[in-house]
Amino acid sequence: MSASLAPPHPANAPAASVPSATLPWSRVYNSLPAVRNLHSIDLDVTEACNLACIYCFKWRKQAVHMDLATAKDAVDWLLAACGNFRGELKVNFMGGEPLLRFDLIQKIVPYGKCRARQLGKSLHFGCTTNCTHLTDEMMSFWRRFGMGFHCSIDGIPEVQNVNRPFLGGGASSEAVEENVPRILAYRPEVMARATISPKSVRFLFEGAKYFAKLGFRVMTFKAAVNCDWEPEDLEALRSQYDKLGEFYIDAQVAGKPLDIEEFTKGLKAMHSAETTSRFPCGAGRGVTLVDPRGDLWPCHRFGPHQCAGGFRFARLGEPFNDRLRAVFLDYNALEDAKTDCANCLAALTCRNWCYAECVDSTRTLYDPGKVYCEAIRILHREVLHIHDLLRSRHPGVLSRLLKESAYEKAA
Amino acid sequence: MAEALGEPQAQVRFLEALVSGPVKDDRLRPARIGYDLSPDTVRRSQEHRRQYRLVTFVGACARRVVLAGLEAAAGQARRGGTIDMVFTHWDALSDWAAGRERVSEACAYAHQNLQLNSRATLFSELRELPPGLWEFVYDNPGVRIAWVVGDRVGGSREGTGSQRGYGDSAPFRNLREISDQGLWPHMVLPVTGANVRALPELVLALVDATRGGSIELAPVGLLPKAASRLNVAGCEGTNASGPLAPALSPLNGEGECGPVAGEYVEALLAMYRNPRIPLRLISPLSWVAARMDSEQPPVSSPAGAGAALAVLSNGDLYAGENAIGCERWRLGNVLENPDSIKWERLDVMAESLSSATKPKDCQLCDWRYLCGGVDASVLLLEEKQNGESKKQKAESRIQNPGGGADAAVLFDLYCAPRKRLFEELMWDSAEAAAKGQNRPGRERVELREDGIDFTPVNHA
Repeated sequence: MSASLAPPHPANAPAASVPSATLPWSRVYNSLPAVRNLHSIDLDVTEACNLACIYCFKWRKQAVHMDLATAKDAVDWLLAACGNFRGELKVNFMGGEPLLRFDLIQKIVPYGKCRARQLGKSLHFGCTTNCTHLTDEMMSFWRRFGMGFHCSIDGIPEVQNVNRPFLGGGASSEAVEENVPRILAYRPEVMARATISPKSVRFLFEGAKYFAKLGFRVMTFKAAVNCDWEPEDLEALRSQYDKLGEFYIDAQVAGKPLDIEEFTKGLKAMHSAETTSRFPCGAGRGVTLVDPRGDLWPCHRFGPHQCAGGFRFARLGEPFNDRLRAVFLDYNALEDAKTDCANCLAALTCRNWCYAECVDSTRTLYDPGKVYCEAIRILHREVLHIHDLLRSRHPGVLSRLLKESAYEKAA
Repeated sequence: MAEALGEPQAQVRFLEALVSGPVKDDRLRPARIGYDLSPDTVRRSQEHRRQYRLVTFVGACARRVVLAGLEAAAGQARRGGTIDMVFTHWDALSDWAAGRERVSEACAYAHQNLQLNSRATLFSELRELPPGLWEFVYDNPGVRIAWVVGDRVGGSREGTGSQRGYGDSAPFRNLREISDQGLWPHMVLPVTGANVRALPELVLALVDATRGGSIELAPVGLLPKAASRLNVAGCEGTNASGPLAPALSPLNGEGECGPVAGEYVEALLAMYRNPRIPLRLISPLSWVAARMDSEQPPVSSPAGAGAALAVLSNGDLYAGENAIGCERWRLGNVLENPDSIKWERLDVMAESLSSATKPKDCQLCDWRYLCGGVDASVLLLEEKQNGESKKQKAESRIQNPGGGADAAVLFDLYCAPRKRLFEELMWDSAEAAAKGQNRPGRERVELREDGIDFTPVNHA
C-alpha cells in the first residue's frame, strides 16, 4: 500500500477543555427540517474575538465557546438535513474570531471530512477570519485539508486601525499585513471583504489599491447599513465608486488579475438570460447558522436580539420550526418587497440584500431600507458606466469577464 | 417416451416417471430445471446478479483467494455494478498489516480491474485499534468496521468483572473512539429472548454511543447455527452492566435464545414510535422504509437469490454464507479452472427457493408486492434445517408431523415484523398526506418586539 492519500489525523492536537456531551446524539434527528435541501452551515465556534470592530453585528461579545459535541452534532445535522443534495456541502467557521478555537477546528474537520466521504458526499470547510491570529500550524492544517479562507479586513491601515482595533486597544493592521501574504501564498484567490462605514467611505478607493498591493486578486466592498449615513457620505460613496470603476477598468484592460465582486456580478446580471431570483440570499433556505449554544438561525446575522429570538429555527435536539423556514423558502422579493422597487433602475440586478439588515433597519423582512437602496443605486449606476465603456471600447475584455471571473472561483 | 400414451399402463408409467424426478439421462437434462419459474423471473434474477454481488470471505483468505473470488464474482457482473465484500471470521484489525493490504488491494482491484463500485465490511472484535485506521477509511470510504454486539468481550471471559462489563469493555471503548473520529461503524445486534424487551433502549444507547452507527437486528432464530459470523455463544455467563447490559444477558442454551415473534414485533413498533430512534439506521426498519419509498419495483426474493456468494479460505465457492456446508449449493472452487464453476446452480436456486420453501400464505399476503418474498438467506436456512428437496420435506413431514413447526417459527420471525411495519407505515403515510392537504398557504412574517407573527399572503 502506498502512502495514504488522506491527510493524517491530528492525533497530537492539544486537548480542548470542552464540556462533555449532554445531548444524546439521536436527538439531533429531532431537529431535522421537513424540506431537506440545506447545503451550508455557518458554525459559530466562538463568540469571543480579539478585535473590537465598531460596526460589529454581534449583539453581545462574550467568551462563549462551542463544545466539541455540539460541533459534531452540527456537522451530523447538516449531513442529514441536506437530504439528497448531491453538490458540495460547506461548513464555514465564523465567530467571533474562529481561529481562536483552532483546537476545536482541528478535531471537527477530520471528523466531518471522514463522515461525509463515507456517505459519498463532499464536505468543504472554510473560515472567515480577521487575519490577526494565524500560525504556521494553522496554515499547515489548512493545506492538509484543502480548506478555504475569507478575509475580513477594511482597507488601509488608518481605516483598519480605527474600524477594527484590538480588543484592548491597539492597531491591528500590522498583524494583518504580516499574515495576509501567508494566506495568499496558499490560495491567491482568497477574497478580501471590506465593510464600508460612513467614517471609512472616503478611503474606499485607497483601500482597493492597498488590497491590490497586498496581493489580493478578489475583493468586495459592502456598506454597513446599520450605521448612520448622511447624504454627503452617500455622495462620497458615489465618487469613490467612480474611482474604483476606473481602477477596475484599467486593471481589466491591462489584463491584471483583479476582480471586484460587485462589478463583475453586476455585469453578469445584465447579460444573464435567467430571470432575477426571487431570493435575496440563501439564508434560511440552503444556509443555516449554528451558534455556540447549538441554536439554529437562518444565518450568522440573526440572533436572540431580534424579536426576542423569534427567528430561531430550533435548538439542536428540539423540533425544527418548519413554518418559519417556509417563510424563507416561499420568499418572493418580486412580489413581497416594498412597492417602489417597480420604479427602481436597479431593481433587476439588485435582490442581494440582507434579511437581517432588513430586520435591523426597517423592522420587516421585506424592506432593506433607504441606505441599502441608495447604495445599490450608486453601485448600479457605476456598473452601467463600466458596461457601456467596456462594450464601446473593449468588447473583448467584456466578453472575457462575462465568461470567467475570479470571484466565482473564490466563492 | 417412445410408447403411445393412449394405453393406461403407459400413462401410469409416465406419471411415475414424472413423480420420480427429472430425467436421469444427462444428455437430456436441460440446462435449467424449471417447472413453475417464469422466464421473466430468471431474466430478472440474472439481471440483478449483473448489477449487484455480495461476496463474503469467510476466514483468513489469502490474497490469491480474495482476488480469485472477486474475479469469479465479477465474471457475471456488469461494469459499473456494485460489489459488496464482507470479511468475516478473520479480524482484519488485529492482523492489520495483512488486513490493510488485502482489503485495500481488493477494493482497488474491484474498482480498477473489474470496474465495479466496491464496498467492504470488516468484522472485528475491536480488541485494539490499529494505527492509521482513520487514514485508511478516509482513503477507502467504502470500508466499514463492523462489530457483533454481545460478541465475546475482549475475546476472553477471564477478565475481572469491570473488564467484562459492557460499557467499560475494550471493544466498546474502541467503538466509541472510531465513532468520535468520524467513522460510521456497523453493528449486528443478536436479538434474544433475554434482550428483546429492552431492545428500544439498547438500540438507542448504541446509536448514541456510536453517533449514528447502523444496526442490524438479527433475531437469534434467524441466525445460522453453523458458519456464522456471530459468536453468540461467546457471551454466556458475562456479567453485564450499564445501559447495554441486556445484550450480554446470559443465554441459557440454544433453545431459549430466540425471541418470540410477538415480542420482537412489539419491540420494533416501540422503536418505530420513538422519535429519537433514526429508523434509517436500523434494519429491518430501514428495509421496510426503503421498500415503501422505492419507486422501482422491489427485487423479489427469487430474483435476488444467487446474488450472494461466499468464498472460504480454501477457495470453495458457495451460493451465500448460509449455504456453506450444503453440497447442493457448492458452486466450485475459485482457485481451479473458472469454467468448472457451476453458475447454472444459481438459476436453479431461484427456482428452488421460489416454490419449495416459501411460506404457504405468502401468495395471499397483502404486502407481497412490497416485500418480494422471504429473503433467500432465510430460505436457505430453512432448507438446511428441514431438508433439501420437496421429497425430503414430504418424507420428513410424514415421519414427523410436527416437524414443520421450525419453519413456521422461522418465517414468523421474518414475516410478522415486516407485515406489521408495512401496515404502520402505510397508515402513517396516509395520515401525513391528509395533514399535508390542510397545510397553510404562503405566509409572511410580521415582527413584534417579543416575537414574530405569521400572516397569510393574499395577492389576489
